[in-house]
Amino acid sequence: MEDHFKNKLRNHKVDWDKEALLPHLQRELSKSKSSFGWRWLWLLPILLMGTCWGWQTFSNQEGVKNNMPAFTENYSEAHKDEQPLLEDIGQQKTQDANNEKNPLASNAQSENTKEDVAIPTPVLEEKTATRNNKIARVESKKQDQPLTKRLFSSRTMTQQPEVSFTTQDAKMNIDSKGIGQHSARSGHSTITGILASDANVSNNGAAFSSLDIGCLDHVEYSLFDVPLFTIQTSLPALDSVEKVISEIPNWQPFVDVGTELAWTFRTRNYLTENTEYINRLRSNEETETPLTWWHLHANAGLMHKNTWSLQTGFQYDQIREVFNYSETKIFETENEDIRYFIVDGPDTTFVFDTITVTRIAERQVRHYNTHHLFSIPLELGYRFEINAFRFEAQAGLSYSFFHNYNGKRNFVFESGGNEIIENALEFAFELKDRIGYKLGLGMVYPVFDKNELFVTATYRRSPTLSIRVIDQRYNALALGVGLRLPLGQ
Amino acid sequence: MTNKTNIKRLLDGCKKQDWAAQKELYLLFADDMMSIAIRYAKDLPSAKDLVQDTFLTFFNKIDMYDPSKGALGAWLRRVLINKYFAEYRKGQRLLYPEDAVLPDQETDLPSAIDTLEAEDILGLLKELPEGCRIIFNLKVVEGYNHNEIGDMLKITASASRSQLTRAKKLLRRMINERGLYSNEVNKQYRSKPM
Repeated sequence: MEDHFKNKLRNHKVDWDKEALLPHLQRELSKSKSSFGWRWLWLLPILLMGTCWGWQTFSNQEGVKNNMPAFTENYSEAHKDEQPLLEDIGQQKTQDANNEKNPLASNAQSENTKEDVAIPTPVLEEKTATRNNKIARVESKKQDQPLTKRLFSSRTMTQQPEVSFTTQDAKMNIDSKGIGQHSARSGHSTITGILASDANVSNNGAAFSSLDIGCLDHVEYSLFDVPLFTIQTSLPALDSVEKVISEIPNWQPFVDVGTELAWTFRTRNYLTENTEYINRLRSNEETETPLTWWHLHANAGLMHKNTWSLQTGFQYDQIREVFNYSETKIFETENEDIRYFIVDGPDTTFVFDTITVTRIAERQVRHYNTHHLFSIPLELGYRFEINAFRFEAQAGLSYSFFHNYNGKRNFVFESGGNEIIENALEFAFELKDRIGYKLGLGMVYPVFDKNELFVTATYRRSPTLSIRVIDQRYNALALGVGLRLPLGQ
Repeated sequence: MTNKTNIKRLLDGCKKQDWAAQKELYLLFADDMMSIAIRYAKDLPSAKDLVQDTFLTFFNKIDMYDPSKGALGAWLRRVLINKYFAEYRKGQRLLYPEDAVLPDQETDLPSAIDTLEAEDILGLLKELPEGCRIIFNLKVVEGYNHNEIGDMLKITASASRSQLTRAKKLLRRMINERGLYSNEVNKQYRSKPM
């Protein structure tokens, strides 16, 4: 029978339309492909923030030397043997002389002064652009003319016909950190400085002529009133800045406060291979029963387009466990009023005496132990809607920087015996890995205009708390409430 | 192009998530998988789902397949069976009742079994208790030994043996009771003098 069944079933072909399954298969495969991307999407905000921070930090420091305009390059070529901080090339004659020395520079410079093209190229000579304090110069064909309005494209730096510069020399101290302040000193015969390039005009075409360089002493700028000199140092990345700035309205800052109360359980790991000792420790486990976990947090964060959020702040966790143990006590009582009699044959003697009565009592003691954890959380949230309900899924880590423990424990020694120990330093719990975890789901209710009330169900896992041969973590299934207050609205 | 080269080409395409290669590979093995799935699933739609999930799992975890460790067909068969246990029986527990007292009931027609067609056999298998059916499939058709079946189903090898015996007895009884044999054999049987 077996062989027959096997042969028949193995050779059996089912009559079915296998091609009908193909569309389903294709659809499911495309779903699984896209789900791969979603799995890692939580990394995006962190990467974005890191990139922005890195860009902000490094681009302003290095932007100057990498993005010097062509004019400076030519000048630098012509004066590469001179001092790095140029003082003055003086009159037109001096310029002409330089041109004669270096025809390439002359050609390039004359091209630069043409009215239609001025594309910045990388600087070859870094002498003219030190990191912290730059003094450079600009040469102009015409002298003693005020700066006039210059129209240009921020991308191509195309110089328009009406552009010209004053003939005054100016030594520019450029703040390499960009936004902030700069100063210009006058008193020379020719305008000097990187300002001579086309990049010296703000992106929105602001009039350069409005700055009287001759008497300019101190100018302050706001974030959106970008100083000309700053643009000089960061023009190639200007589009990125614009993108970042344009994203700002999509990021909503908020403050989040909340509290949770949890049912707690514990997971333990024994760091000894002595099985007898482990058995004794295990038998002692039931004396300590995790009880509650109370959590409190105050965070600040950003929410992107009401969907993704990232928050950090401060959190406090209090974990309580009850410790039950039996305590044996010996009670001795002096009884002064004892009367008895001694019968000795026909004689009976009455005695009045004092005796000590010893009584041994065992009592059950219940003590509450408490862990206090202070931590910095980093939490990522994703908001979604199902029908009319709005939810937010949250996942996060917390770094515990402080831990305190009050309590009594029945400490079992490896050498044998045990002892009730209360708050002894040498038997204290220590934070081992300091990282705790959280996974949660909250339901969001709008309250008080634009504020939001959260009701959350959360799973929490504490950092590893270590004591001698025991590593333990507390786990919590928590219910909580929170309030999120959007800022800047 | 040899079959082996063709499969290697398809596997390379599947690793790159090329739908044309995935489709071709599916069409190549779909019938075989369905013939296995139909033995486990309760009906044709469930079998289709099982086949689809098998290919989905295979395409998503294709990097786990090592051609040096076995043929692709055998791998897919194992994926299907694992999938059946993992997904279709999730949350359920296979029931392996104590052996009912089943008399050894050899069929009156020794040749009747040999005349059964695949459809008849499938019909009979569907009527077996699920635990018996699965063990019968795994042992008799797929060729797993009782230890392997025990590992798969988290039961002992002797329990597997016991269920197989029970399955065989039930099958014989069903064949006898329902006269499931071909007309030709039936005629021969009936033409015999009583």
